[in-house]
This record gives sequence, C-alpha cells and structure tokens, in this order.
Amino acid sequence: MRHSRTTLFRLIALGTATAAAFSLSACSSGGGDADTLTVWTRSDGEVYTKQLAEMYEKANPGLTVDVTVLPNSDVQQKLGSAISSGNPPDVVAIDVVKAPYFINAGAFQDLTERLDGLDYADDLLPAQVDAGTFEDKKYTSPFTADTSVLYYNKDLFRQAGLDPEAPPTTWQEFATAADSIGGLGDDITGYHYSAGCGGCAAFALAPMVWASGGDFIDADSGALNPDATFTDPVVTEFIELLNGMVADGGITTASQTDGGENYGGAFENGKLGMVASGSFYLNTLQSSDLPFEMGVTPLPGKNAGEISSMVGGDVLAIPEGAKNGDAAWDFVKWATGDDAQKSLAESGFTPVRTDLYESDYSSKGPEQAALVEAALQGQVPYTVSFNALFSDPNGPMVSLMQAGVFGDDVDAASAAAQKTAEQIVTQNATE
Amino acid sequence: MTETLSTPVTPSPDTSRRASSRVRSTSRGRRPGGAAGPSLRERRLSRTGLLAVTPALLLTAVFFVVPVALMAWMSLHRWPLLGRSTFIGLDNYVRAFTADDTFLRSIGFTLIYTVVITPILFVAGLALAFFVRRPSRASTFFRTIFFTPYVIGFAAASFLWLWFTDPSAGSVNAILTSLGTEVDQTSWFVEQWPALINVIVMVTWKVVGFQMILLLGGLNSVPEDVLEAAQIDGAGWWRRLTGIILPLMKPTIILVLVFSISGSLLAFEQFFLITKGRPDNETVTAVYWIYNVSFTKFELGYGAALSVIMLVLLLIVAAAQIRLLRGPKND
Repeated sequence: MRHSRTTLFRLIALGTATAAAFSLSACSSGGGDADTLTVWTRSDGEVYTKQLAEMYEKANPGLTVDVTVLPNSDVQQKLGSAISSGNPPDVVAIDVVKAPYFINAGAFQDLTERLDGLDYADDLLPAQVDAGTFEDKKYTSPFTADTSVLYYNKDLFRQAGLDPEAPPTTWQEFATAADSIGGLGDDITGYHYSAGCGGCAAFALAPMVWASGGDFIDADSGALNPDATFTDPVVTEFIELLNGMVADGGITTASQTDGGENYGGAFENGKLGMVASGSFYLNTLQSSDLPFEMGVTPLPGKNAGEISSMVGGDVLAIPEGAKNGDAAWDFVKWATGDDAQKSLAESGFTPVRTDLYESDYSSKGPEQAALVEAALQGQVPYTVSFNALFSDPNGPMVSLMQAGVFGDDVDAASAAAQKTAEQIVTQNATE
Repeated sequence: MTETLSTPVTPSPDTSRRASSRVRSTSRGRRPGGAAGPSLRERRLSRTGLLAVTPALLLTAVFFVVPVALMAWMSLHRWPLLGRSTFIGLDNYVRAFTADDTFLRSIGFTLIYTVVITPILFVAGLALAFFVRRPSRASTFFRTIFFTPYVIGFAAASFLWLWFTDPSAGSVNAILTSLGTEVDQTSWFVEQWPALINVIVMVTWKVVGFQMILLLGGLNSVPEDVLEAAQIDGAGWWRRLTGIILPLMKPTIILVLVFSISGSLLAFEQFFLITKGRPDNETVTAVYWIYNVSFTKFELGYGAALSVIMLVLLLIVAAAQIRLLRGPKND
C-alpha cells in the first residue's frame, strides 16, 4: 500500500515535470502486442537503428518495428520517466556511457545467460561489454561503436615542416604539431575541441589522460559511483599542456565557447591541423570532397606507445517492465548477429563484433583500421554520474575545459572542478 | 450570466413576496433585501457566482495548488528520477544555503540582470509609447514594427540571436568588423558582461514592444485638458511628465513593472540557449540552475526545494513592489 502511494506520487510528479515524456510513452503503449516491437533510440542513432529495423521487418514478415527517436539530451529523462511509470519500450538503444545509471536504478533486465549463450559471446567488443556489467551480471548488449581518434591534415603537417607520415605519438609531439600549424598564418589553426560540450571534450581528450594512467574518476574501484579525481596529477599535467597550447596559439580561441555545434572546427575546409573525433565523423569526411589529404591516428598518451580511445556508441537493453521481453531478446540477438553487424560495417558504422573487424571493416582502409585499433584499446567511463560530471554544460568537466585550459590558474580551476564533482558523487551515493 | 441579469425583470412566483419584504425592510430603514440572512436572490446569485468561478478554481487547483503542494512534499525528500525516494526533512533547504555556491551566485546574477534590464525596458518602452502616441498611419506602422518581435517565442528569438552573434558566421561581428571595430572572435561569451549585454539587447528588442503597448494604454488615459492646463500654467515637458503623466499612469506602471520584474527574475530560456551559463556558470540564472539540478542531475527533490525558495523570493518581491509603488496613502 505504501509502495503504491509512492508510485502514485512519483507518477504525478513526473507527469507535471515531464508531460512530453508521457505523451511519448502513450504513443508506444500498444503494449503486449507481439506483432509490434517498440524500439527507442537517440537522435545520433537514428540512421542505423532505422536501417536495422527495416531489415528486421523484412526478415520477419508480419512484425512491425516501431522506432522512436529521442533527442540525445532527453534520453535519460524520457526513458527514466517511461520506466518508472511502468510503460517502457521493448528495446532501447542508449548511449553506452548512460548504461551504469540505468543499471544502478535496476531499470534493465539481466541478460547474462542469454548473452553468454551466443555463439559469438567472446567476440563482443570488451569495452562495451564491461560498461554494461555490474557484479558479473550483464545488463546491456554491445550494438554499435563510436571510437575517438585523431584526424589530421597531412598537407598542413607538410607546410609546418612536420612529417605527414609520422603523426604525434606523445603529448609533446601533439602540442608541438598544433603550435607550429597554428603559427602558419591567420586563418590556419592547430587544434580545435568543444570545451562547452563536456561529453565532446571527454570523448576527444580524456583518452589522452587514460593512456598515461590518469583518470577523472576512480575507475579502478569498479564502483558504479566512483570518487571524482579531477585533481589527479596526470589530469592536471595534461590541462597544463593544453593551457600552454592556448598561450602558444596551438588551440583555436573558438574552442572555449564551442558547445559542440562546431566540433570539427575548420577541419573540413582544410584550415585546421588536427581534431579528435569519432567513427561518425569519418563518414562525414569521406562523403565530402576534402581539399586535402587526411590522416587518422590513435590518440596519444604522454609517452610514445601509450594510446587510448573513448569507446562511445550505443548498447541495447531490455527495460524492466517491457511488454514483449522475448521478442525484444530476439531483436537484440539479431542486431548483434552477422547480418546486422555486416550491414552496419557496410554503411560505415563501427561494428561491435571483433571477429568481423578484419573481414568486414578494417579492411576498408587505414582509417577504419585506426578506428578498430582504438576500439580494442579503448574504454568507457563507468559511473552513474556521467551526465552530471561530464555531459552537463554547467558541470565540472566543462568548467575544467574552459576555466582550466583557457584561464590563468590551472590548479584553482582543477580544485574548483574537483569540489563540484565531489558534491555530485556524494549526491548520487547509492544507499 | 444572462439568466442572472434577466431575473429581476422576469415575473416569477416569488415577485410579490420579495416586493413585500422590500417594503418591510425599507420601513425599518434597512437597505432593500437586507433581512437577517441573505435573500433568496442573493443566495441564488452567490450560488451562480460560485458556479461561474468553479472552472477557474478547478484549473487553479489542478495546475497550481496541487503541483505546489507536491513540490513542497518533494522538497523534503531525496527524490531521484529512478528508484526510491527518501525523506530527509529540511536537508535540501540547508544545502541550498550552505553548500550550493552556484545557487547563491545564480540568485545574485538574476538580481543584477533584473536591476539592469528593468529600467532599460521601462524607459525604452515609455519612449516608444510617446513616439507612437498620436494616431496616424505612420504610428500604426511603427507600433506594428515594435510589437512584432514580442510574438516570437523566447526560444526562437534566442536561437536567432545566437546565430546573429556567432563569431564566425554571425552578422553582428561582421558589421562591427566592417565598421573598423576590433572584435575578438569569441568575446561574447568568454566574459560575463559581454554575454549579459548580448542577452539584454535581445530581450529588449523582443519585449520592449509589449511594454510600449501597455504604457500606451496608460498614456492615452491621461486627460488632454489637464496637460493643456499645465502647459498654460507654464509647466515644461519634464515637469508635465514627472508631475502629471507618470502619477496619473500609476496603475499601468505598477502593472508593467510587476510584469517586467517577475519576468526578469524568472529568466531562463535566453540564458539557457544563448550563454549556456558561459563563462564558467557566471551567467546562470536561478531558474536555469533549478532546471539544471532537476533535469540534468535529476535531483528532483533538491530542484523542488530550490523552486520553493524561488517562489517565496518572488512573493516577497512582488508584495514589496506593489506596496512601494502604491505609496503610503492607499495602505
């Protein structure tokens, strides 16, 4: 009785707060209907989710896959509301960094047995498998990968007197390359990133810290809500490096306020030396007629030989309370199967089946090979607080990326970011 | 409504009784119908009146009273988006005033914004109202021009502005550069004041037309003959403005200022969309922070507590404002 009253309150609360979410869940409330499978995805995943849904419908006549696309920034709120109101979709494709949040809330079904029973269970991309695992139970399945790498302009490398076939392998080489390209002339810039978009900045820059053993959170703890470590000496040293690059003209001034709208800087028109981005960006670049020769290389650590990457992309989950649990699993199984994954590779999306990499993806070119190398060496930040720590445009990561990199006191900015981050972690403490 | 109005003229069975009661009460020197209790007619009127306001009462209850009560209840809890909520008493309120620097800073910033923009909007609105005061074809044209931005939503206007002031593609920087001004390509959002000025210019452009229309109504209610008499007595325009026009426009001014100040204290979209709090949360308003806490961090209980605090602040400001503007006489 007590429980149902809280549920009622929660319902009213969420109703007032997120009326839109209700109308959405109402749209997909054809629940229990085995002829229709409801799938939610974020706007970044619209293309491939719809592509696979269509294929799945063709393979299963009589079945309709009803795909709902949510704006990236609304996923957590809308999915959370739908699950707590007992009306979730059958399958959801979410940004892999959000998996720990929902796992912590008990929002996803345990898929351990089903995933382990797959023929290719051991071939699923480890970084994404880990992101969906808690206490040895797997709650999400890898779906598509989006790994961060460094794109660079070989022509500008040549102009700046750098070897275009020897892209940076250390922080220092990275800084030197950016600074010397930035010094080429007025409208030529060295390196650009989106400091106002915490998720983008983490995707582009965090791997360079990870590669050298540093981190923004205490990932080694394995906890769902690890402590914040924004003042980790490796992090501070890296911010100081970036801060120096700003002073030396290696980083564009537009980086400071870029909220992710302009993540590629002037790279596409040949005026930017280097930019870190993901698999999706390769599609954009390869579909346009670039006025220069492009190179792709892993994100370097402090010392030569250290590389890392953030493995983004989407994982699939079946929410608790899904009406068609079995049909949902059939879809998940199919989406990780050969047909679906090969189709993804063909359309230029990085698959999550490591056994298909050589035959279907990295063989497409050195760029894809670099993305695969990154996927295998990369990791996913594992914390329930990802949104508040990293994505939030008013959160500690953005603050560090703006005030730390562009300000005049790295230590003060780091300390301030750490203080905010600690408060977030404390608030999200699991009981 | 129509029925109520027509009742007295429609002959009805109780007409004679009412008439006699009127005679009796008049003889006792009471006002008509003023017997010991309310008359049948009065009772019927009040019942009809109650019926008439019921929809409004219901709407207020459903859309105001219930949410506010729920919000107050939530504010006493740690209330995550998913998972169980826990009762924590007044902890959220304590946290707001002791541990949340950004919230306190956001209230300060909201007050600064309000203090800066209110006089700008009022003076500009009044000036425009004077400008378009006399009815003519030209003034209709200008009234329309000035009012048009008001019908654009804040979100759309903010995006428009964001685009105008974009460092690489926007027209504002291009114009400033062509006029020979050195503009740092990102100067709008790397410092607090340029970011604030950017928003103030947008809001003024968007809202001033509405203030103009409201003030125009007040301005037109000032009797011409009084102004003429003052002019004959030798009062200059400033004397006429401060001594006659503004005092006579007091009710309109109160309305405009209450609208404008509470609107500014609730500022959100323009900052959320244009500055995003840049630089380093220096342009985060109170409502922006409430949004961030509730829908980015999903601390719904804490967000509710901040909303309650905000509601109390608004009530205090609105009450103080009305009291101050009315002046001591009317109290």
